[in-house]
Amino acid sequence: MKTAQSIITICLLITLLISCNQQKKQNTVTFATSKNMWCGLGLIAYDKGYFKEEGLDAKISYLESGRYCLDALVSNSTDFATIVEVNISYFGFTGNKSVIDIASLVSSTSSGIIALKSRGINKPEDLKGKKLAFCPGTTSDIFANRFIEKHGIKATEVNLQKIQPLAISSAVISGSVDAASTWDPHIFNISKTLGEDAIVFRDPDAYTGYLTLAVRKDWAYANNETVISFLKALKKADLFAKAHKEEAQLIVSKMINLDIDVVKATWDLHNMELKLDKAEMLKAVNSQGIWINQTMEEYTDKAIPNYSEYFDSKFLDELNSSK
Amino acid sequence: MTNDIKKWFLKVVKTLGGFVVVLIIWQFVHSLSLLEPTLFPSPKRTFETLFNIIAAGNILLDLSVTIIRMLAGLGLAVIFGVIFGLSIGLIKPLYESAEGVIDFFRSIPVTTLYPIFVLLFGIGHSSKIAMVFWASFFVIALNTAYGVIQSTKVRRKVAKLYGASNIQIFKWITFFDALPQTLIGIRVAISFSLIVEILCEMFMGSEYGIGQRITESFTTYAIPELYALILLSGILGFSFNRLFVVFEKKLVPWVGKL
Repeated sequence: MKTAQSIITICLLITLLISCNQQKKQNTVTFATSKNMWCGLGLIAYDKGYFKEEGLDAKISYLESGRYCLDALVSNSTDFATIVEVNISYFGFTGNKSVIDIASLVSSTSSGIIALKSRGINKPEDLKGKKLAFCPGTTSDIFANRFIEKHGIKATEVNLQKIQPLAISSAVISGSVDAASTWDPHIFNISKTLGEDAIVFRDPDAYTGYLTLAVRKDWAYANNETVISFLKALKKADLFAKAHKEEAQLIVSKMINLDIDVVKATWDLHNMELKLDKAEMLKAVNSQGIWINQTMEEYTDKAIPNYSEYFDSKFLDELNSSK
Repeated sequence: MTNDIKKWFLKVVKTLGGFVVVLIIWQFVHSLSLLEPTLFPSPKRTFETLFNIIAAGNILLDLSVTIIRMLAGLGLAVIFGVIFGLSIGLIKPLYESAEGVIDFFRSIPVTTLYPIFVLLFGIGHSSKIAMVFWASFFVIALNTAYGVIQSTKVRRKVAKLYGASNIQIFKWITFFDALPQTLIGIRVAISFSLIVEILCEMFMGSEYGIGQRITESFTTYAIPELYALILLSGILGFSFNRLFVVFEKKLVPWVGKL
């Protein structure tokens, strides 16, 4: 009897804790994003007080990556989340259709392969037979695969090394690998440390990454005005970044605690613009969906998701027509 | 006979009771969708996935890589930790001067030191083994030293009175007096070493390993696999612990009986 009472008490406590966590104050919106340059527009909007100007009390939660931001969104812990398009490519396979992308905030060509010249790498073809590090399931994975394929190298002809983002810099600098597929600021910092020994291969045609703004579909439709206000604030940040590039760089540098020189050097690799080119996005996520389906064991027996259900331009259209 | 069966049955119920309660809560949370079902699979789905992963067989390579690296780091830590612990335990001035340094280094979360380990040992097996060694060494060394310090002086004095040499006293009295505490250190280190090994794989990346598989499942939204692998790592840690308890009882049967 006592055991049954204890179980019921524990279950009630869990229910209470979870429901408390999910309650939110009115007029307050929560925004899950990451401390990196991709997330520049949201950070500028916050720093310049554009959310407040639009009547929103935006509370920012900084999470490690888009993957965590998407989880926060799906689990109802945040109202808005910045996620990369690869997250949607994978998420589509879960069959969960509660999330929609309502805008893209940046298209980035900051992905690349940094290699050591001292290991005989002077052109992409030299990567054959070399130790190439990549982060599985991330933009680094996609870039590495597409890049070597484009240069006529099969995946089996490269010694691919799985590595996590945190260890990439140390691995290249220490010479544990000959090259690494990564992104900025890693590429910039590694290049700076290695000096003449570093060579960087970038290729926007092989891969361009997108940071998008995602919301829960039901919540967004029930809070149309809030979503429009949020987008208005981001639009202001977009215009500000274009008109005051240096000031925008300073804000981003301060917000993400990244050296201003690094921000300036890599700024133009990030095309910050609030828009939603559905065809462009669908092309990106579809091709990734096919790649996931063909290369990952867990997904080979699953159908390619209908990704068009994950993009909705209604809110941005409303914003543009309200001008 | 009936009483024996009753006792055995009660023991089984007591042992499994906690697990059953956890499963009931898990199913309860899942059934009521208290957590988003896409991100939180049911126990049934998780166990099915775990079964499928094991049946597919490729997890064996990940398991063996994780276990081998963990045991390599732990084994080195046991050898060097026990020798070092015995030394500082026997020589008081050495213990006094080493205690602060050991306490300082063991207080640093080993995972924060990964950049140094990668620089020193690269991204292969060595850096992970070295981190497991680092995490386990201090706890074994300190417990061994405490064991020596706490060893019974009376027995040593009696042995001396009977003409035993210092080596004999160490070999037959001090070492065995310190053994229970040393084994406590090793038992704690076993948990540490598995945690650190899996964390290293998750932080630094690895071609194979349970931690690597967990990170990949997380990144690629293979959620049932993710929970199945978490469960598997729990089973692994639990099994090591239970095995060591059995070994401990055989090695120091007098503990708790004197």
